[in-house]
Amino acid sequence: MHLFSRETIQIKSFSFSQSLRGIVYFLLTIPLVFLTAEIVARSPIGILLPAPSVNADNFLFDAKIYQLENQLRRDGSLDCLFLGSSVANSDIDPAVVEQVYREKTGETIHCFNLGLPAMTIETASALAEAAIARFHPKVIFYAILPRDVHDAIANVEYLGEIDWVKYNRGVPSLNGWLVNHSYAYRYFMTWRYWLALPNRAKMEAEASPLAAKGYQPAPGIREPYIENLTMTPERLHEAWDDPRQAQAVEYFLTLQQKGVKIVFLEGPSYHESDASDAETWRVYETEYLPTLIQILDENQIPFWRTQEIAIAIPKEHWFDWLHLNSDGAAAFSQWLGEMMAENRGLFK
Amino acid sequence: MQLVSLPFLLFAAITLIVYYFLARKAQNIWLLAASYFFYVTISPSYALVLFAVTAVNFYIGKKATFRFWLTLGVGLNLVSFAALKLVSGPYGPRLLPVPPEALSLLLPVGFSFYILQAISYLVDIHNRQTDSADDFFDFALYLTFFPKLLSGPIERPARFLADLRAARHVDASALARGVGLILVGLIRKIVIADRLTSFLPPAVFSDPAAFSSLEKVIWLLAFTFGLYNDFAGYTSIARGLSALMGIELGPNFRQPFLANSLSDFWTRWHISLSFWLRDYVFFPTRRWLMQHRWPQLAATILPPLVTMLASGYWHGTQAAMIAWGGLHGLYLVGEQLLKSKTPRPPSRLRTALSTLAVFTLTTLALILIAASSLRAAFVYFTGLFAFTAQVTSVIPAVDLVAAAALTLLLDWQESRHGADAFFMKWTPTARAWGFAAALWILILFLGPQASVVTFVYQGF
Repeated sequence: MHLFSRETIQIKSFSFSQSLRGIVYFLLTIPLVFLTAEIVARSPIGILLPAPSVNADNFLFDAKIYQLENQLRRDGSLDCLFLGSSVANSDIDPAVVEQVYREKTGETIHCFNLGLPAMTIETASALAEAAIARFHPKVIFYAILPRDVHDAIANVEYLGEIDWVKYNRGVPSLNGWLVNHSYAYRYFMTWRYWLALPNRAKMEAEASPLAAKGYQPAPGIREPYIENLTMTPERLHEAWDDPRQAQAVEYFLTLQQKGVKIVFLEGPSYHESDASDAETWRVYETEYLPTLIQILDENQIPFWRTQEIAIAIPKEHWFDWLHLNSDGAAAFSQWLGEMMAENRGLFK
Repeated sequence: MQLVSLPFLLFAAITLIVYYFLARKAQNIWLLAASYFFYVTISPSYALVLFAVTAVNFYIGKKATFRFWLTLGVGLNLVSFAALKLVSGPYGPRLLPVPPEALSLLLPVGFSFYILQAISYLVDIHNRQTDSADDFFDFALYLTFFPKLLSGPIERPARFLADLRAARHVDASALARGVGLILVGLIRKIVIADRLTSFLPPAVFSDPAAFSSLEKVIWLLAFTFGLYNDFAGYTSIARGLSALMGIELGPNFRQPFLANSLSDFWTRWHISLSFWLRDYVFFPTRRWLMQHRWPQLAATILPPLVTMLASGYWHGTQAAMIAWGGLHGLYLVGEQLLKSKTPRPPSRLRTALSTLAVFTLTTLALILIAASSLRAAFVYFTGLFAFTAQVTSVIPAVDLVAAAALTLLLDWQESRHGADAFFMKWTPTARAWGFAAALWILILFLGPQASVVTFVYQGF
C-alpha cells in the first residue's frame, strides 16, 4: 500500500486560486478599512455614534473617557478631575464649578467628573493613576464615603484590570495600545458589545443621561426613597478594622508623587433634622472620620468637610439619602466652586 | 469540540494538511481516525456505540441479500433507534429508573443520522442498488465521516462508497467551492442563526401566554429563519469541508421558503432526510398497500401520514414532535386530495399565493417543534389570533429585518444560479471580492460578545 501521494492537490499556481485571492483582498483591505473607520470616528460624524468603547464592560466609563478625550482636545489641559463613586458622579457638575470659579477669580479652569457608581478607593487608585498618565490633571478631588473603604458587595473592581487602565499604568499589551490609540478599534469594540442584546439595554441605562463634562444628573426624587443606603453604626465601627482599607487610602495618596495634587472631599449625605440617626452620625464623627483625617494629615492631604452645605440643602433637592438631584448638585457644585476659588493656589 | 470553534478549525486544518499528502487508501484510514478523534472529544462512550453499530452492520451487510439477515439488521437498527429515542425523551423516566439527566445522555449525538445511513446500506444491498463494502475502513468512514457525523447530510452508500474508492482531486475550483460553502455556512450560522436564536425570549414558546399576538408572530418568524439558517449553515460548512477533501456530500436545502406546494417544500427542506423517508418509508408503504389491493383512498392517505409520523418520531418522542409529523402528513394528504379534485392551470399570481400559503402553513407547524408541549403550542397558536399588539419583550427590529433580508439575499442568489455554491457562477474577481467581504462580515460578528450557539439539529 502506498502511504504518500501528491495526487490530491492539483493547484498549479496559488495566485490563480479565487479563494486565496479573496484572502489576499481581505488582508489588503484591512489597512484601508481601519484608516476609513479612524477618519470617520475622529470626524464630526463620530459624535453621532455611540461612544467608542475601551472594552470596559461599563458603558458609562466608555462614554466618560470619550467625553474627556474630546474635552482635552478642545481645551488643551485638564485642571481638576473629580473621582469617586455615584456620589461624585451625580453630585458634582463641573460646568457649575468652572463658572463659579471664573466668577470668583476671573480665571478659567477646566474640570471633568470621572466618578463612577459603585467605585471603591482601590479601583479609583488604579483609575487615577491611569488618568494621570493619560490626561495630566493638576488636581484630583476624591469624594470619599465610608462605603468606599469597606464595601465589597457593590463595586466595579474589574475596571482596575481592563487593558486601558493597565496600559496607562505601564503594563504594555496590544489590546491596551489599540484602545488607547485607535478609535476604529474602539468602535469595533462598541459594535461587538452592542451585538449582545442584554448589552444594549445596559448601554442605554449606564450612559443616560450623561451631561457635559462627565456629570450624570440624578433625576427628581427616588421612589421609593431610601433612607440609608450603606451607613450604619455597625459598619462604621468596622470601617478601618482591616488594615488593607487604610493601605488603599494611603496608596491613593502616593499618587501625588506623580506630580498631581490631591484633595479629599467628604461625600455629602442627607442629615435628618430630628436626629433619628444620631448614633450613626456619632460613630461617623468619633470613629470613622478621625482615622481618615489622621491618614490624610500624615500625608499632608487637605480634607474638605461638606457637612454644612449638606445640611443647608433641603430634602427635596436630594435624589435619595446619599445622592443629590440636579437642583442639589447645582447648590453643592456652587459651594465646591467657591471652595476651590478660596484655594486657588491648588491650580498654580 | 463544536463545528464552529477554534479547536475545530485547528483540527480541520491539521486533518486536511496531512490528508493532502496521503495516498487514497491511507487518506480513508486517516479520515476515519480523525473522525473517531473528533467524536471522542464529544464523548468516548458515543464512539463505542458508533463502533458497535459499524461492526454489526458491516457483518450483516455481507449477508444482507438474504431476507432474514436484512430483517435482522434493519430490525436491530430500528429497535435500537426507537428504544434510545424513547428512553432519552420525556417518557424515559417512566420506563427506566435512571435520573433524567443520565437518560438524556443515552442517545449519542449524531445517532439519528448515522443509523439511517446504516439502514439504507442494508436495504440497498438487498435491493442490489449497491454492493456490500469489501473494506471495513471504507464502510466505517461512510458512517463516521466527521463533517456529516453530527447532523448529516444523510448520505446514500452507493455514491459515498464509490467516492471513497476513487482518487480525489482538489483543484482551484474545488478549493474555491469548498471555501465559499464554508463562508456561506458560517454567515448563515454566526451572522443570522445565532443572532436570531440569542434574541428569542427564553419563555416565549414555553410560556406564550405572556406575549402578545404581534410578539408571537415576530418571534415565530425569528425562530423559523433561525432554524433554517442554523441547519442550512451546518450543511454548507459540512459540504464545504468535504469538498476541500474532494468528497461530495449531498445538499440538504434548496430555498425552502420559495416552495409553492407542500410536496415541493419537502424537496427543499432537509432534503437528505425527506428523500430517505420517501425511498425507505413512503414508497415501500405505498407499494405494499397497492400490492395488497387496498382502496385507492387508503393508498393516497396512509403513505404520507406514516412517512411524516415517522419523521416526527425521528425528530423526537415528545407528543408535540409526533403531532408536527402528523400535521405535515395531513397537509400532504389535503394537498393531494385538493389537487386531484380541482386541477387548475398555474399562473404567476397563483404560484405567489401558493408560496405564501406554504410558508404560512409550514411556519405555523414549527410552533410544535419550538414549543415544549402540546398545551404550550396550542396556547401559542390560539394566541396568534387574539390580535393583541402590546410589546413586552425587547424586539431588535433592525436585526430581525437584516437577518431576514440576508437570508432572502442568499436564497435569491442560490435560486438565480441554481446552486448553493452560487458564487461559482460569479466572475473570478467578483468571487474573490465576495470572499473578502464574507471574511469582513464574519470578523464583525464573531467575537467574545457574540458566543456561538450549538447547532439545533445536533439535538435530534
